[in-house]
Amino acid sequence: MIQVHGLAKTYRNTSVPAVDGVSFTVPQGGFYTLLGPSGCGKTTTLRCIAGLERPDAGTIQLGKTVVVSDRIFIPTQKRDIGMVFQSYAVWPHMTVFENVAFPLRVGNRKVKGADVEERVMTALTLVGLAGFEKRMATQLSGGQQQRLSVARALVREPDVLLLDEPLSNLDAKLRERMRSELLLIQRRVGITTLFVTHDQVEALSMSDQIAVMNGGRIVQEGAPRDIYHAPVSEFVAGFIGSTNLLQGRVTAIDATGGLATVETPVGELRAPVTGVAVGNEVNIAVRPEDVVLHRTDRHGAEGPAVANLLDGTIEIGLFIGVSVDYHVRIDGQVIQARVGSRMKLEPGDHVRVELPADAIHVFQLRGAEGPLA
Amino acid sequence: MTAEAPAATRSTGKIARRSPITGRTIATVAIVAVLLYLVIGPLLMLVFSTFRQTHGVLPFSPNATWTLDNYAEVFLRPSTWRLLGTTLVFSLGALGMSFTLSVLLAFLTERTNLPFRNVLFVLIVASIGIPNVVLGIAWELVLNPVNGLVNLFLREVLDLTGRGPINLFTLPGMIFVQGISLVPITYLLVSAAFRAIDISMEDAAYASGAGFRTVMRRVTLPLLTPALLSAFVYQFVSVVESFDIPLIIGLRGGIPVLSTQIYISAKPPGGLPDYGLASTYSLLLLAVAIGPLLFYNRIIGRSERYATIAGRGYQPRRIRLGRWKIPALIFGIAFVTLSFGVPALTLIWASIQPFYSIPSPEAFARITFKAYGELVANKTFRDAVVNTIILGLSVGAMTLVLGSLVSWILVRTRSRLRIALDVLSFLPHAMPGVIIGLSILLIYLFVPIPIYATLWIIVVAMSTQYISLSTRLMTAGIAQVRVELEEAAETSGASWLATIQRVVLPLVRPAFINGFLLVFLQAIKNLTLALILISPGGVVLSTLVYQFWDKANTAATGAVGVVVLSITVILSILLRRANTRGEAVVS
Repeated sequence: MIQVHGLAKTYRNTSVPAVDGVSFTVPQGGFYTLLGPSGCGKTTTLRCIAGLERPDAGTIQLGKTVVVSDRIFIPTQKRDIGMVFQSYAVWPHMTVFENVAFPLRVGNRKVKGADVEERVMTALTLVGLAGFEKRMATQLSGGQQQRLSVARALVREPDVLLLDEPLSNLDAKLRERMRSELLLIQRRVGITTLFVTHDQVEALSMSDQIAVMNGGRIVQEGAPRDIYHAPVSEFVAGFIGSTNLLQGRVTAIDATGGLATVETPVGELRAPVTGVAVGNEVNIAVRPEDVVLHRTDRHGAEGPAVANLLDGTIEIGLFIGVSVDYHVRIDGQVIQARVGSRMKLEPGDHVRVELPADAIHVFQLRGAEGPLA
Repeated sequence: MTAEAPAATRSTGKIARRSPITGRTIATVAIVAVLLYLVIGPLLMLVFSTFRQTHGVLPFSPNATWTLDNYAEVFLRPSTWRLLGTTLVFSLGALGMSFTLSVLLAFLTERTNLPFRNVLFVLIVASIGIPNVVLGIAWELVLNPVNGLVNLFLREVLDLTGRGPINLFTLPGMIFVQGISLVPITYLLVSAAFRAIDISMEDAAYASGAGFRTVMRRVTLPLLTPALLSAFVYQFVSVVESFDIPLIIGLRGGIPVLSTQIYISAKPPGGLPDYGLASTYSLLLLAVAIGPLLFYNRIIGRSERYATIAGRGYQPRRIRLGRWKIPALIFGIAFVTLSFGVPALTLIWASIQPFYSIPSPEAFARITFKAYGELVANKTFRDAVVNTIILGLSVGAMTLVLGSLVSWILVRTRSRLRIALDVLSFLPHAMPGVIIGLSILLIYLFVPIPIYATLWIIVVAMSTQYISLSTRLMTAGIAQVRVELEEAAETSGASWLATIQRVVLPLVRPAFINGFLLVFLQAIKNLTLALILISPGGVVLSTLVYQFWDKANTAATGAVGVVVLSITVILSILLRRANTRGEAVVS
């Protein structure tokens, strides 16, 4: 378990805090991700937890041990952690075996001779590097060095595993494979894991919980699906994949209070809402893959019997294999729609654009990068 | 080539070759010829002389005969092996001292929260500007057994009589001063090595549970080792060929090393020079200097094996010194005092005293600036200043122009002469100054070009010596100019010369100016070549300070020393400002 409370850190020679009151809890065995653009404070948070930076304020608890508080600062080497670095940081002057054995041979919980070998081999087998132990670390490929660094982090069987953008130096194909491999290893070992990344696909595909960070604060915390479908701010909506954002004003709310009518530049839209009142300025987000396109000729003038149906013109289509991204112009606005590649439309074609009510996410304006209340 | 190639090309089946003789080719051949003349000429003359009987005659005189006596005299005498032993003890001792100090200082300024570390960095590096001849003389004024300030003081305090108690004119004395003189450059090399370590390598070790000592011993030091070894090899050449301190301190104590032995044979205090013998000693010195260089490539190869994926450039966390803060600061201040404060203050003190004595109320009452007044009135001094400036400018211009051309050919062309240029421009780095001086001397005793005993023979010799430095600097500078920029000029219709003039030169100007200043500085500091090649009438600042010191004119020595020191230290600070933190200052 990792518990962080009120963490703050400002680097010397800067006035803007790198981390500004961050609190979160990673449950035992959980896979928790700090996601955000570079400079958002995610790496600083991780390094504070590792003890590689000294926070200005806040408490950090790893398992049952408080490692940072007002009076306590336990140095890195005394914390029960395993860490994987972006650069892998495998030691070039050691063999693969020596790299993994290092954590067992140093510090205050040294392991005896024969046990070292057994545990190193277990760790190497876990990451699929058995048989490589006699090689020099730098003779491994990038992906293998990455696995080596995971084995080294796990060999001590620490309380928590800290991953600092471990996949960002791999090429695209390998990165995709390592995502599932890393997750499988984490599940098998059941280790509490904190993962730092700027890649929303990594975050969404691997995490139990995600904290989206911006400007040194957590702006939204939640399960991947919630973050993706119900972003609380323009920043989160924009950062987690591409999205259509519209501004509007609530003009009516139906009797049950669940469905509102919102006036937008593309026309009136019906959408489920909570906690808004008539007259509120709101933002509307629709994921491109939720947008449905209808050919006008097929449905004729009357169209399908659904709400939120808008007339538009195809501007351009970008064929990306599994799907096509169409840019549709509606009353001066451009809406992105991602549809199956079997639907073939040409620039200039007239279409009806359906924004299904249950796919529309309405949230109140909170400024571009406003924090969670 | 596309499928729609012009019909004419297709029908002949071949593409017209570029005209075989271009401006580029002519320039390349000319440059190779110049380098051959500057570098190989002296070496050939040296080898030739070793086989000539030269007691009282010049090697190419008709009276000289072919002989192997020189080899017998050098290699069959036990004294040679003693000489070799002294040279090695001296070199390794000075290197050991400078590396120990440099690693400690670099660790403190690069990795800890030592207060004033940036000031310390500047002060350590600023002593690059202190010429060894000046440093040697200053320490002689401090520690000589007769009237060295520290000795006078100790005798008074301890109530001793006679000489000493400390005698600088010993092997440890030489090692001490040489060791201090090697620190600035060693320190730059070592601190660059510290900066090159990917800090996450250390972080990973801490995260594995290792404490500070374990991390240093098992991770940091092994990672530093290749860079330390290559710095060691590099500095080994510098110390083996060093001449000023062995001359000023060693010879006073009757302790010759190879470099000073060559000088004695070529310019004996009494009697006639024996160039054959001097040349043979030179070959021995060359072998000693080149030996470790042969391992150099292997070490460099090993350090490349250490190349890993670089992480983000974190500012390394600084280690909190805690209760070691004050002792560490005292160590830093003590070193800077020794390397810079003591020599500078001693020279100033010597220059403002009518006769040399310990600082005391009476001595302070005697302070006078007469020595400076006499200097300004002295025509020799004025000549020396003018000559030194001419020398620095000429050597700087000549080596930098030549070095730029060589570098451009090395970096940008696929000329078959590249390998020759590469070797020729590197060789002088391994050639000790005394050897260059001696062989250039021999050449112009023989070749009917009337520059013997003029300033220009020194210019030629220094150009030979610094061609490797200027080529190295300019290669780095030119490699930074992307080749597309030149190609864009060529596709715009610019000729080779126009491309160089209008595109390459403006872009490499910073590197050029930086290199020029560095060579200028080295030329002013260089006593070796000036002393070997200068005629009795001619004089530059480095030989002038040596002459005054040799005649025991302490006040004048101090005054010239202060003048030289001011010029060179200001130059080295200018250099530092032209540079990013230290990288290219390394010579």
